[in-house]
Amino acid sequence: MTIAIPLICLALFLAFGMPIAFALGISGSIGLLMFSGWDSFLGILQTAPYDSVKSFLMSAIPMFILMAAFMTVSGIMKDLFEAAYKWLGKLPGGLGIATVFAGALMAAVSGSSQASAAAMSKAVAPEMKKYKYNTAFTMGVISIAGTLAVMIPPSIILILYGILTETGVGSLLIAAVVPGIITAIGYIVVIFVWVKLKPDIAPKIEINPTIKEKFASLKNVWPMLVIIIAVIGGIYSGFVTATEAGALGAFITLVVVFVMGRMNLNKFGTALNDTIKSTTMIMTIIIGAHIFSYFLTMTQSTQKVVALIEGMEVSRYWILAIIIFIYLILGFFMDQIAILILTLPLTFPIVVSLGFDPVWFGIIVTKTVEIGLVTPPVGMNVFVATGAAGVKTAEGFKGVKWFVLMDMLILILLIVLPFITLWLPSFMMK
Amino acid sequence: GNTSANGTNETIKLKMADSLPTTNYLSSEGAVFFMDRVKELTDGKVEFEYYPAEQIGKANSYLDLTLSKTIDIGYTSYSTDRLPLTEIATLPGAYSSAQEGSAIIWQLMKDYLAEEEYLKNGVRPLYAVALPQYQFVTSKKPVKSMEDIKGLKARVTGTMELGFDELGASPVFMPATEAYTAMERGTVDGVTFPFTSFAPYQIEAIAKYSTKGANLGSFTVVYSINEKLYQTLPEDVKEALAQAGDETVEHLSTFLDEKNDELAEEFSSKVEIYELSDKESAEWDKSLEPVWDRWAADLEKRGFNANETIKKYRELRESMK
Amino acid sequence: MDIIEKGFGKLEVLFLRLSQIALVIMMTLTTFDALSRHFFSKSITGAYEVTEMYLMVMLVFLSMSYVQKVDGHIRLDIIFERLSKRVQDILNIIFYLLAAAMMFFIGYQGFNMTLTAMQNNLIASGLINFPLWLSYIWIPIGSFLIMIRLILLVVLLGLGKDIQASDSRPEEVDFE
Ligand code: NA
Ligand code: NA
Repeated sequence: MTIAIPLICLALFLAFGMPIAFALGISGSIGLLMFSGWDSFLGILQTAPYDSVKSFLMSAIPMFILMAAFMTVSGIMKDLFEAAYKWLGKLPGGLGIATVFAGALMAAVSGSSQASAAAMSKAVAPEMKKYKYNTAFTMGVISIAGTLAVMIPPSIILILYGILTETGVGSLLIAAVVPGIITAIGYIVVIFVWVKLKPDIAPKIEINPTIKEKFASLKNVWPMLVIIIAVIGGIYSGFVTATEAGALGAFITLVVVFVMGRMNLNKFGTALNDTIKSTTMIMTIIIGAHIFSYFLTMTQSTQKVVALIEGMEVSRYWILAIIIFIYLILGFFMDQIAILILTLPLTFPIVVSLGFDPVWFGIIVTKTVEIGLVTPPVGMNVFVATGAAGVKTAEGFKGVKWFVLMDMLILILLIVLPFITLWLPSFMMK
Repeated sequence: GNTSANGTNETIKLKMADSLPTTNYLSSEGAVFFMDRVKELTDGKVEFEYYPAEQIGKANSYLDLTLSKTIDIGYTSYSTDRLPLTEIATLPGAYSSAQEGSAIIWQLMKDYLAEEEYLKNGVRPLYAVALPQYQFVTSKKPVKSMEDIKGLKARVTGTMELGFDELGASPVFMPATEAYTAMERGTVDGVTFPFTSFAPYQIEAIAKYSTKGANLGSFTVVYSINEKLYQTLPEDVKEALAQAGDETVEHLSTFLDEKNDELAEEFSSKVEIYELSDKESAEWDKSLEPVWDRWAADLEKRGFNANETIKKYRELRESMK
Repeated sequence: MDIIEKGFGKLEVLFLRLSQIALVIMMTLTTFDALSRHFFSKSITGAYEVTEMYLMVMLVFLSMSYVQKVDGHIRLDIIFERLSKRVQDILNIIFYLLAAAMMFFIGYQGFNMTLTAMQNNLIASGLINFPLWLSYIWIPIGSFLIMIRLILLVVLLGLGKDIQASDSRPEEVDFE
């Protein structure tokens, strides 16, 4: 029964606002001290922090974040939105649709949904406010468009899944393309229907950019296209591995924005600091999560849970449903990266032993991550988007509800029809 | 560990951990085989808690976890910083079959290395198994001579870095999980893998050519026990560990050789396998010999008795022929 | 107290600089490794190890304290933000003390690793021999830095000082 104590500690620490990394590490340490004693506590505190960080694969995380940071500080993310807005602004909910488009393009070069949401919130929120868009709607669109960065490759979540489960990162990134596009289309459908039913949330805008203006706006989109082509081309031509692609992308972005005269020492420093903040925050959580999961391992409770689920005499689809349900529940409360690190060592072997495809499961898990990023009480993307715009978080949560419903439908679609996910990798990997 | 060795009738619980997935032969036919044998030989007096698949730490942390008594028995193969002499069996041309290599390295450990580097570091080796020799696998052009390797980018591990540098190739490091895509897209021209590791990384799906019978180097699997704990164990348990260790070396190395041949046969339908003649194989060994000198010179400089180790290794190899 | 805070802040920024440098080198080294591999069929020897053993460890550990200073270690504030300032401060004091204790042990163990690696001249061998102490040493430095930062925060909270002041980044760090 003593196993409950560290778990209760964790729940209390998290609930009352202890930084997540510390909450995991400290309750894990308490557990190790209680169960395995002083020696194990010191042993794990010696090996876990170093091993979590000393990883070439993990270097993809700072590199992709750095790439997104260069795009943000140089303003090319803002340009992208403005072009999308000139082309799509006249449609019902046009600014919202433009945001989804911009989010999808940004997603194609950014691995971090938080970087993406923050950048868009700064660029888009003032525009939508100017045109009297409903605040909840605005925040909902920005928060949800930011989540595209996790599904549309490259994605830190997919890379992490690949690392944790030894599933080929290349296959995962390819597999996510179609689900990512479906998701973006799904969001646009929601905007259309919502605005049709409640026109006052997105007043019609009287803008009439000429064809000339429209095409003129595209001249600011080229940097993004160059970077997308370079990164994706770099990966698929074998010039770089999926891990190295972030470094190449960051480097190219830096060169491009420097050539454009969009970079100076101040912006460069800001990009570095923003990257370090996100990276170290994530990596510290990973360290804490490792300490906690090693404690769980030493109590043998994880093995017992696995044995329990494996031993259940029900259809494998029931077991899968239970696992996905657990992911959605955890997604309400916990940080997405911490969830993956804590649970994948348990769920992945079960799912694979049941005969499900590891790449497909990766995409399903990633979909639950997307949902978790915007569901209350802990929705990182909503926090970031509302934080950057200076709006109450509650507005953001109100604004994402219909998008979450669409996400759930897409999740079910992906589960029921695995070929949506698997046909592209099977075609690409011959 | 929570071992209590005082009462003779009490069960002794040992915690054993490694980084290998349970589907890996080195786990199922090695670690699990070893634990089962110890249980049988002690009539259940010894029980194990097994933590496979990085459940308690990354690959290079098991020596420290054993020393800190977080676990009792750990997979110490990757601790080459403190146990570098064990790497001798991974040098190119060190042996031709897993059975041969395992017999030599395990005997060398008992005769020399246990005292020379393991006990000094607070651990005692329980068994050591040398894997079948790594082969060079390519997807664009076949490798039939050492000349063909020149200028190629080769994904390597461990001491093979020295070997491929010696052959004029460019050694590239990358995680095993990326080997498939790296070879498919030409990030590297070839990868070094033993046949027994093809399946987990889907290598046979992308490989077009492979060598067979080349001794490019290999890897040694070693499990070690905390020495302080070992000394508290009753005599009969120590004997059981020794016997189970010997049996595991024999069992796993035989298994790996058989599997290696079986898999080479199986892959030959998809992969064009170039088998080196004994003469060619010996020539390759010869030209890779400078690797041994580089390895030894470096360790001697750092105060390790590498030359002595090489001498003893060669004597043992000769005597076992 | 202010002097200690300021002095320590300078030290923190110094190590943050190293962290920034590690980040830039990581990007450049990985890119040029790929370029070299592609155009000269030759990997940059040691690029992989340098990134893994040195740059990653520096990047993360040397900036932990700074990230704490700017309150960047995220937390779930759904309950926290509804509590009174006083209760928040008390909770933070408890959290930071516990975290400081944990970081002490991580730093202490890291210090022992570094010392062992130095005394025994431990090396990750290959075409280049990489000293391990140079990989480990960032753990004790970074852990003790954040430990001191956490204790400083506890003292400031205990004295009833407004922590907001230390949340704003010093000018030499914030380039904006
Ligand atoms: Na993305
Ligand atoms: Na959530």
